[in-house]
Amino acid sequence: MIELTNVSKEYVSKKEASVMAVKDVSLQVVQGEFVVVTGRSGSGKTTLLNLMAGLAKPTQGRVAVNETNLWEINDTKRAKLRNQKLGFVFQFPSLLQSLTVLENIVLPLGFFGNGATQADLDRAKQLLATVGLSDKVNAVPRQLSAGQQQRVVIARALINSPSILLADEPTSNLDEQTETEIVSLLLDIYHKQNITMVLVTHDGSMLKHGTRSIVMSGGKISSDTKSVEILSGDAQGLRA
Amino acid sequence: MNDQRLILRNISDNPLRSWITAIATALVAGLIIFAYLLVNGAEESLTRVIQRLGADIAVIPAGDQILVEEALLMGNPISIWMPRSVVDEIAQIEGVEVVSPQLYLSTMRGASCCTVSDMFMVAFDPATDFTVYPWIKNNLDAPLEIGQGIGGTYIRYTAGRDDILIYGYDIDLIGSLEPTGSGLDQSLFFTYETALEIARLSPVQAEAELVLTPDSISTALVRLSDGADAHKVADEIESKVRLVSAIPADSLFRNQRDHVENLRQNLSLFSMIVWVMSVVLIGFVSAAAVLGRRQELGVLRVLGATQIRLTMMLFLESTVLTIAGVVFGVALSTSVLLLFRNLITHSLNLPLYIPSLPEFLLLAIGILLVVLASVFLALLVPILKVTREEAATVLKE
Repeated sequence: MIELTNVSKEYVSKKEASVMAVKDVSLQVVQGEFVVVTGRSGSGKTTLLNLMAGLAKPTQGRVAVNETNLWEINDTKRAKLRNQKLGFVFQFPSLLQSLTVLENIVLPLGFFGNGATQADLDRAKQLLATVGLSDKVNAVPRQLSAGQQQRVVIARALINSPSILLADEPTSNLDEQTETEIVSLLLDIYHKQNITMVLVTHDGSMLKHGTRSIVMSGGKISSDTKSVEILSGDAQGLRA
Repeated sequence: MNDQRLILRNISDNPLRSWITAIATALVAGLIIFAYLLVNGAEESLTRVIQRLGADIAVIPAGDQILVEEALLMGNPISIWMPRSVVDEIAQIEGVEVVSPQLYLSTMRGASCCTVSDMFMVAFDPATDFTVYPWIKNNLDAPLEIGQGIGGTYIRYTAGRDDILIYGYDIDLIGSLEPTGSGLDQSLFFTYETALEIARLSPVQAEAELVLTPDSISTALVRLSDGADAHKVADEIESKVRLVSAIPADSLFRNQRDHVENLRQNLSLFSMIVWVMSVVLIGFVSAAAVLGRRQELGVLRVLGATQIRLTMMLFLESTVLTIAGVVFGVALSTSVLLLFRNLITHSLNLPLYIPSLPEFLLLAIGILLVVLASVFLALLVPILKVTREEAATVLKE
């Protein structure tokens, strides 16, 4: 479970004016939810995701994952929690170009373990099959299309069997057909793997896929709606 | 995928950064070791020659100091003479404990009766000698006999022979001396009696006669009694013995010492400039390479790499490149120095002592640590900047 309590995040810059990206946000994401976060550019949705993942330190407030305050533990414990409890899908191509597809997928296993065992490699191949790229085990990222690379990223995010998958605009750089395929893949993973998912997107059409919809505006949550309300079209009515 | 493989992949995937770092470190390491071996080798060699002489004062024919110094350092053959009677005159002077005469000879050039052409040879008096016997590597069972010789460290029997031919006379090599890096390493030592025997037989056995002026010597090496002042005794010798120069040991090779000091200053300055330029270059290139990988490093943070781990990985990458560069630079530089040793020593007119393998390895390790520290210094700011930043900020850029 992810819990944000009165969280604010200000980016201080020497060259430019400081920006308050997230303002006094409180939020609970419970096990099994599929939260879709939308909002205009600069509304603070990516910062919100980074705060949930412990990638950005809140200027004020508390961020907890599975009841562990991310900023009361040291960098090593935070990194371990990220490694083992969270999966992350970025909006940009995030595969290491020097590694093969298989090596990219098992990369997270090397940070808090002895590296990939044969069982891990088998699981990585199984995940590759899940994302439809069984034949790309030994390919390097530059041999893959953008959509294929994103599928590999999803497989990498799942290698440690995380309980939470965070995706930051995973389809923003893809064509329409590939976008549909990636969304289908994420939905399939959500339904089959009992995983908590937080998806940040600027695409309003994604709202229909989530069990909960959050709309960000000016660094604040302007709307937080459960799926029943989405389906009924009453998105502005109730707060979670 | 372990860190080592990731590091090696990153090295091969950043060829510009990798080559520049390796070449710059090779340049610095190569230059430092070249300068060190040259300057310290020359200094060590001068010290060893003085130690080898073992004399507090060297008495030579007046005006021949430069010739004698060049003979001792470079092995340049010389023929200088003074009457043997100076030995007795010097022995009478207060403060003198022992006087040992030596005669300098040389083999013929390009003659079949001499195994080695233009070789510097020293005939000494075993009864008074205190400069040759102490430096023999292997203990001799008995004093040198007529026909026996001791070689400098590089004097060897030629293939297929068990003697060295001097003016058609067979010298049996029975020992060799510790290395000095000087001309003494390529010189041959035998007794006065042997020299006289060679000269006596040379009209018959050699292509040309070896002419020895009777009762002549080339130098008289003086050891002083405890407490005697070398400079005062040297002055006393010059005032009482005609037509000789008495040179205290600390005044020997003064020109060469000045030359070495100049060389040290010039090479140190040059090395310092190259070092600073290389550190700046490595700093810029590595900073650009690290900053160019910000997003990748951010992704690694997201996947679970700690700040310390990333810092270690980046430093390890540089360590691998630095070790490769230093090993290459040291190997290349040392090879050049060894291959062109004769050319270098003769063009600089300085001897060169090459350290033993353990000494050399210690020096190479020292240079590696210095260069590594320099590279770390150059990388410290960019690496800490990237690894200490919030992962979200790194990813955003």
